[in-house]
Amino acid sequence: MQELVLNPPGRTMEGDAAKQAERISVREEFELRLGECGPLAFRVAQGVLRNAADAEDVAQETLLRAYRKFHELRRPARFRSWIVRISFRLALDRWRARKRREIRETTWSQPISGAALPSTEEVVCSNEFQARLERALDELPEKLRLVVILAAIHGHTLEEVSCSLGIPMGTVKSRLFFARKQLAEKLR
Amino acid sequence: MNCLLAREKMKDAFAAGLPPPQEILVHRENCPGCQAFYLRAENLFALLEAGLHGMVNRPVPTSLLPRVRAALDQAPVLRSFWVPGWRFAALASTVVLVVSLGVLAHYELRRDAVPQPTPLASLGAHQPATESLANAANPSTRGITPRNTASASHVQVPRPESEVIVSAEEREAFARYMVEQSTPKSMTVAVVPTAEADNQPIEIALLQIEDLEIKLLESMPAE
Repeated sequence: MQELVLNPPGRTMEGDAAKQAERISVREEFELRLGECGPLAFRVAQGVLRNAADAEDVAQETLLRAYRKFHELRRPARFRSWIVRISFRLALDRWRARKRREIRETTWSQPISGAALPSTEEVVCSNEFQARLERALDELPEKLRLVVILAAIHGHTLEEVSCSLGIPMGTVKSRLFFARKQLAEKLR
Repeated sequence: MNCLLAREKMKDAFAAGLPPPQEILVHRENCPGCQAFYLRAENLFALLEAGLHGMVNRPVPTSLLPRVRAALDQAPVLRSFWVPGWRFAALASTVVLVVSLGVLAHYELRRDAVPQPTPLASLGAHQPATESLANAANPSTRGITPRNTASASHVQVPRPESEVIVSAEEREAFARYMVEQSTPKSMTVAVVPTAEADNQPIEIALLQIEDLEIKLLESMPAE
């Protein structure tokens, strides 16, 4: 008995094979960059969110978005920059949502007595600076914050920051200078 | 050197990640206050760098890449949607054409809506004769102009009720007149003083027409 296969008009077996081949080639090309850019996306998100689970989610979302729009990337040299921007934007969105939620929850569940949680002197001392640093970092303008985070990534030179953001080296240096100065002023 | 200036330069040097200039180092040696400030600033920037590095360089979770790969297997790759340039051109020209025609039609309609002088002979049976006749013949009714009296100069469209345009300053008086009058609107005309009599009180009067006879003007050919 002969098996009949219905193909929608305009769709052929050759077309399917071509699409499959294209998909495989895109996937291979993306895989080449994944090993390098996955950690980068995670670290950028971690710098903004300071929470490993959230940063992992953001990194995954970043890489998925990049994969879906991979065909729109005209200049492969800009892939790192692209990933950094997507990750930073997504992390900022999540950070803002978290802030809003925290404010809402704090407003509704504020204890009446307002008593602070007791903690040992040592814990306070060790966490205080980090907490102040995080607050100061959150208050930095986005441009400065991104440069500070990228420059703080281990083994990331200023040239790489410049390439990642697609901005001149001098701009990176000046942004880093102003960012550090502002942070120091806030932490003094 | 001024201590404030020296301290500012120290902060700049630390923020830029450069060693302080020689003159600052010399000043620091001679100024105990600036020396203490230098140590504090050095410590602060070192803490800052350490804090930032610790914050960013957390170990990447080993589950990240497998998670991403699993998600990629299910994610479709969107193909670029390419539309040839001539299609854009055709679409754009169509839009421009439609908009132009719309604007043209709008102006045509507005031009047609402007009231034009009506020949007396063209007043038909459907036109409220008294109102148009009074408006056309009586110079004292210049403030009251019938709207759409003759959009097509010789074709009279029957209207259920005549309309009268009243200027802003005459509106109140006209409203009073409309309340007071009891005769059908088609048989009445509000006569309002013109602009030269602004200081005088507004007079409202009914125009009583006992008999109406429509004649052709001598210069107009008989239809």
